[in-house]
Amino acid sequence: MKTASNSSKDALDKYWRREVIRRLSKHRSARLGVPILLFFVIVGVLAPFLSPYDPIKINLSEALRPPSSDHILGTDELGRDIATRIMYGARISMFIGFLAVLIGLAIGAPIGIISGYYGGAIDFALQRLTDVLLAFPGILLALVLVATLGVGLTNVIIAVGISSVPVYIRLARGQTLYIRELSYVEAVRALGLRSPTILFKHIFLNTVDPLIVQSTLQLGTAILTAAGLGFLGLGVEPTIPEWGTMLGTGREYLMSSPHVATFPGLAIFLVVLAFNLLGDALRDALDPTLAL
Amino acid sequence: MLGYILRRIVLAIPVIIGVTVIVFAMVRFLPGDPARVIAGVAATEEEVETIRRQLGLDRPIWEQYASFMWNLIRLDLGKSMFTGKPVLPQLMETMQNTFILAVAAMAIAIPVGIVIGIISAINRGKAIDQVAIVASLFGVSMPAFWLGLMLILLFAVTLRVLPAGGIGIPNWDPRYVILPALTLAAHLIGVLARMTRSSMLSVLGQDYIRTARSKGATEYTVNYKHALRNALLPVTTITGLYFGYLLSGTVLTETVFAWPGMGRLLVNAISNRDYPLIQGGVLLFSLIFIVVNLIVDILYAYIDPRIRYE
Repeated sequence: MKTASNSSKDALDKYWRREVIRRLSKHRSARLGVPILLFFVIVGVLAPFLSPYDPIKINLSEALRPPSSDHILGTDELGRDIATRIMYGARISMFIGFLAVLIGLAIGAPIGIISGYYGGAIDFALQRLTDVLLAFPGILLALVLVATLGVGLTNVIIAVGISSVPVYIRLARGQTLYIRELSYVEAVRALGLRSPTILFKHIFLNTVDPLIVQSTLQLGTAILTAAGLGFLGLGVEPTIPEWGTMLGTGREYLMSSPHVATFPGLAIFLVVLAFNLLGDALRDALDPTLAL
Repeated sequence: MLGYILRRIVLAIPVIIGVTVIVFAMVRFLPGDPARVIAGVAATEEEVETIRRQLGLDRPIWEQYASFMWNLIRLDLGKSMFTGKPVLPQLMETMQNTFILAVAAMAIAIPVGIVIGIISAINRGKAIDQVAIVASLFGVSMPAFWLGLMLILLFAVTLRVLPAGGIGIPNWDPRYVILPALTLAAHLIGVLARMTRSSMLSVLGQDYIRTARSKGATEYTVNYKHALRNALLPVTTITGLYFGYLLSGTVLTETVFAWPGMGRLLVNAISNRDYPLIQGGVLLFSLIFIVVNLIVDILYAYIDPRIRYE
């Protein structure tokens, strides 16, 4: 009996997963976003093979060269090949983005689910705490954290990650509040299942879809925030080829060598755009009420 | 209504206290010895001690917080460690410039964003809708600091029609505000266009719209008289709540355009490790945000009475 219902559930899951992928492959936004992301992932991974240049080594005799056949995107103020630095920068930005989103998710989602499930005083206290974090809008919370922790790759990841925590708390809580009232949760509670089991198996697993959609969009936001910190000179160590930092230094040479600022910015824009496109597509594809 | 307003204000108090705790804790949680970090590596032992005493870091933590709060209530935010000038007047001076920029950005973004959203929704699925969808996604994904630089390249360097930065004081010149305001507005335009479109589409799918159509109302009347009004309700809230994000966006935009506002002041303060100024700036940013949200909540409850009984 149990195995039978399990296997039919598995089959249903499998069917739904295939359906989501089918919907994604037909979705216009995904068709635009996925290739852009793949492009940056591939150039990031293959950077050492795709470029003959070193992303860090200084070569002042080649400084501030405009785009040419040797340097397709030109060189920066220290003579480094900008295309190469953008390729290596893809690694850095994706790395920061993924880790920051993971931090936000790992801290925010459990707090949101507990807050929504238990309600009452716990919920009230956790929500006021969230309100406090939300009172530092946009890049401000990341700035506060960087001003305290100091700059550098690790601190940037922590700062950007923590600044996305309240977003996840709100989302997971809202979703939990909705699921908690559904009859199946009432049913498992009546069956005498313990709260931790209900929380994980019946609530957390059903918040996964919106969390995936939010995380995809949040990847774009995280990369944008980290690049913003870099632009302000409050990002990673200056030797690391991070797009925002490159843009920030390129700004000094905007009048004479506009290519130095233009291309790293274009890379940030394209990656953020791609994550937003994919997030939009995922939201539609994961929505069973939408006919696609 | 009065009860609702009071409840909202009471709920804002713990948030404000929480914000002061975080701003207070910022300096105390500097890695290592805060006084040493603030004084800088080159400082002598005496200089470090002076700073420790100045900031009261040698006293018990609750006493430090109590005096921090007492100073706040007396509107004393301390002195800049860099210029030695009191923090509050500096913030006030820059705040008005930031407000000018934020309001100008709103003035651009609200009509543009909403109009794009309406056109998009009414022409759902057509080419113009696709263009609008892509354009608004561009706005949402655009790094403001990059957009700002590109606008400078185009309008200030190449075409030479607009200034590249500054504020044009003492002879207040509106040309200086155009590029920074556009830069700051881009994201909000995208957000508003997307919001308006989806809100409009969901309203157009409702029964009363079908009723209006079936009784022979023209397309114009249906779209603008019946649908738009209701579709704009959620858009209003988002716009209000967005004001705070717009303020935080000034941090980047002001830096690009050397606009002498609060955002730029804060960034410079962080670079200089000027902690009293950082604390004051952060505090003011989030207080403005809290107050604006409070006002938006109350206005929204006034427009839509259902909210009050939530």
